[in-house]
Amino acid sequence: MDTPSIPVRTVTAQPPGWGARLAAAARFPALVARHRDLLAAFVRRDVQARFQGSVLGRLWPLLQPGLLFGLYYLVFVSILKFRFDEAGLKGAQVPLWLFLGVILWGAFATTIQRATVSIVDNGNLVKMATFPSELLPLSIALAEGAVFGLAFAVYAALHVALGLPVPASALLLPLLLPGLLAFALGVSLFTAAAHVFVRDTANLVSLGLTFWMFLTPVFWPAANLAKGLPPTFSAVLRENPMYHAVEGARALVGLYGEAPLPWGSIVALLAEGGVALLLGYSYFLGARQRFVDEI
Amino acid sequence: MARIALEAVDLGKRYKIYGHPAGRILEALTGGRRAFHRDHWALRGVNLRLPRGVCLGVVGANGAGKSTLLRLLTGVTAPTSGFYRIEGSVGSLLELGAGFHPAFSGRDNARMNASILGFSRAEIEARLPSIEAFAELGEFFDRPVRTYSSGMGMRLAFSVAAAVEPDMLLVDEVFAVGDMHFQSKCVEKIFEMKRRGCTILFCSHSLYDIRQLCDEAIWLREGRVVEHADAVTVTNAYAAFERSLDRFAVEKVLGKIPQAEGEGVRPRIADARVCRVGTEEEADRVSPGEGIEVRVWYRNPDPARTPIHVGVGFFRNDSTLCCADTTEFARLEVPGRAGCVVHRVPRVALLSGTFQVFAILFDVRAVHRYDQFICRRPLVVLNRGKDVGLFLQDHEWEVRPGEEAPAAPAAPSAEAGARARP
Repeated sequence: MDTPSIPVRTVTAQPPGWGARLAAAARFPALVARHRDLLAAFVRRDVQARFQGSVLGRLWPLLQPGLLFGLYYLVFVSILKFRFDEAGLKGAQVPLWLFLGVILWGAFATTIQRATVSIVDNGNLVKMATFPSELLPLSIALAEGAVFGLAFAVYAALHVALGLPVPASALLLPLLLPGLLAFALGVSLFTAAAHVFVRDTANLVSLGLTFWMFLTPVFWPAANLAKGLPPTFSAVLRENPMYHAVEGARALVGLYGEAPLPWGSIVALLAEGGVALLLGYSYFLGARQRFVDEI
Repeated sequence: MARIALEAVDLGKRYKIYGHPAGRILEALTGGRRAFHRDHWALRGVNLRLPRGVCLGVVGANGAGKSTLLRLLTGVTAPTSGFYRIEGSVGSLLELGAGFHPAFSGRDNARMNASILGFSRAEIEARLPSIEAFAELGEFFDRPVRTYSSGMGMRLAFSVAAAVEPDMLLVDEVFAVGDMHFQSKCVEKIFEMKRRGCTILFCSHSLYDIRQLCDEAIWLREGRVVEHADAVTVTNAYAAFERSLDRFAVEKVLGKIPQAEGEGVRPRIADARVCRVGTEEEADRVSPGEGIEVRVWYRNPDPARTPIHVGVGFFRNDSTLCCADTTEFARLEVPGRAGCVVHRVPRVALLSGTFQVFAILFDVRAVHRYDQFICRRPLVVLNRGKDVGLFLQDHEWEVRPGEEAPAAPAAPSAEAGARARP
C-alpha cells in the first residue's frame, strides 16, 4: 500500500446508534481541545459584538449590573423596606441576594435562548460538512459565562463595599461552574437541535424559561418552599438544577451566615448537569445529519 | 489498477415534504403509524465507482439531483438508502457562503476553514499567503465576509478549497458568479489539481466546461443516473434530449408571419414528416452526416386562384431558427391540386439538439401564409464528435508557422470616414 494513512469514510443510511453517539459524546472534551482556537475566536467575536459601536463600549458589562443593583436597592431597601426573615435577610443583604440570583439566572436563560436559534441562524457554517456545530451553543455559553464573570465582579465589589463579611467558602464558588455549564449546554444542545425541525421551539423555550424562573428561588427565599406547598411539589422544585446553582452560590458567598457548606447542591448540580449534557448531546448527534435538509 | 477513490452503491436520498409544520409533530405523536408527509426522492439508486484522479462531470436539468448527490458526498447530509465510501479528504464548493462566518474577515474565515479541516496553526499560516494571492481580494481580504459580492465570496471559497489540497474536490455550479479572469484561473487550478491526482466531481450546466474538464460524466434525470460514459458521449446525449422545444413557442414564432387574405377554400398541408433518404422510415434520431428528407403533402383546391409555395425549416429549443428555405427562394413551382414536396438534406449539419421541423404553405410571393404544420415527432440529432455549437460548418484547418500578419491597413482618416457617408 502506497499511502496507508489515507482516511477512509464510509457513510451508510443508518443514523448513528446510541452506542456510537455515547462514544462520540465522550469525545467531546477532545473535540473542544482540537478546536480551541476556533472556539476562542467565536467567544471573542460574541463578546465584542455586544458592545461594539456603543459610546461606553467595554464599560457596559460593568455598568449594566451596577445600575441594576442600584435599582434593586432603591426599590427593595429604600421604598419597600423588604426583609426576608425566613432566610435571615435584612437591609443591604436583600438587594445583594436578589442581584446574585438574577445575574446567575440571566446567564443561564440568555444562554439557552440564544443557543436555541444558533444552529438555524448559522446555516452557512452548519452547511460545511466538517463544521463542529456543537461549538455554536458552547461558544454562546462561554460568552455568557464571561459576561456573568464581569457581573459577578460587580457583585463582589458591592458585597465588600456594603460591609458584608467574605467567608472562606467563597473560594469554593468555582465548583458550581462545571455543573452549571454542563447543564446549560445539555439543554441548549437539545433545544438547538429541536428548533431546526420545529421552529416553535424558540417560542416555547422563552415561555418555558419564564415559568422556570418563577419556580426557581430567584425572587423568593427557598425557605418559603417548606410552607404552603404540597410536599411532593416542593421536593420536585428542590431537584431543579437551577435551585442548586442559585441557592448554592448564595450560601457560598455567605448570604445565609454560618450555614453549613452546600455540598449537596454542588454534587447534585454536577450530576444533573452531566446527565443533561449526555442526553442533550446524544440527541444532537443523532439529529445533526438531518440539519442541512431543514435549513 | 488505480485505487478506487469513490464507491457508491444504491445511493438514495428522500426528502419528506410536510404540507404543514404540525405534520411532523402529529407524525411523531402517532409513532409514525400515520404519514403526514409525501416522499420526494431527490436521488435514487445511484451506483458509482471512480478511480483516483478521474474527473466526473454531472449534468442534468434543475432538480435532477445534482446538488443532492454532491451534498451527500460531502457528508453534510446522510443518505436514505445505500452507502458510499470515500478514500481521502474531501473539499467542496457547493453553496456560496457555506462554511463562512459573515462577521469574520476573509483571512479569519480562511483560518477557520483550514483549522476545521484539520490543519495545524503553522500549516494554516504557511498557506495563508497563497490563499490571499489566489483570491485577489485586495484589502477586502481583511474585511468581514458579509461585505463581499457573490463573486468575491466565490473567489475566497475557491482559494481556500484549492489551498487545502483535498484528495477529492466536489464543485457545484459556482463559476457562474466569477468574472472571466477568475473563471479561467479556476479552470487552470482544477487542471493542476487533477494532475496531482485529485479526484473531481464537477457539476455544471456548461456542457462545454464538462467536455473540457471531465473524463467521464453522468446524466441525472429525476434522481436517477440515465447515462454514465465518457464526457463527450454523455453531454451529447444530454444536449440532444434536454433541448426539447415547446411546440407552442414554435407556433408563436410562426404566427408572426402574416396570414394570407382571402375567403373560400384555402390551401392546406395534409401531412409532413421527416424520413431517412429514400425510405419510409421516419427519422427521429439521426447523427450529423446522415441524410434525411422532409416530405410535405399539400392540397390546393384552386391552384389557379391561389398559387402556393412550400417552406421547410428547423427550430431549436431556445427558439433559434436554425435554417429555413422555400420553393420560392429556389424558384420552383408547386403545381396541382395535391402533391408532395421533398426537402432533401443529404448530410445533416446540425449538432446535438432536439429540433422541431415545420412546414409552411405560402402565397405566391412567399410573404403571407396559408397554413403551417409542425412535424409530430421532433428530430433528435445526436453528435458523436466533440464539436459544439448549433451546426457543423464545412471547414478545413491549415497551420502556417512563422507567418507574420500583414501590415494593418491605415486607420481610416476622418476625411475618408466623411467620404464614406453618402
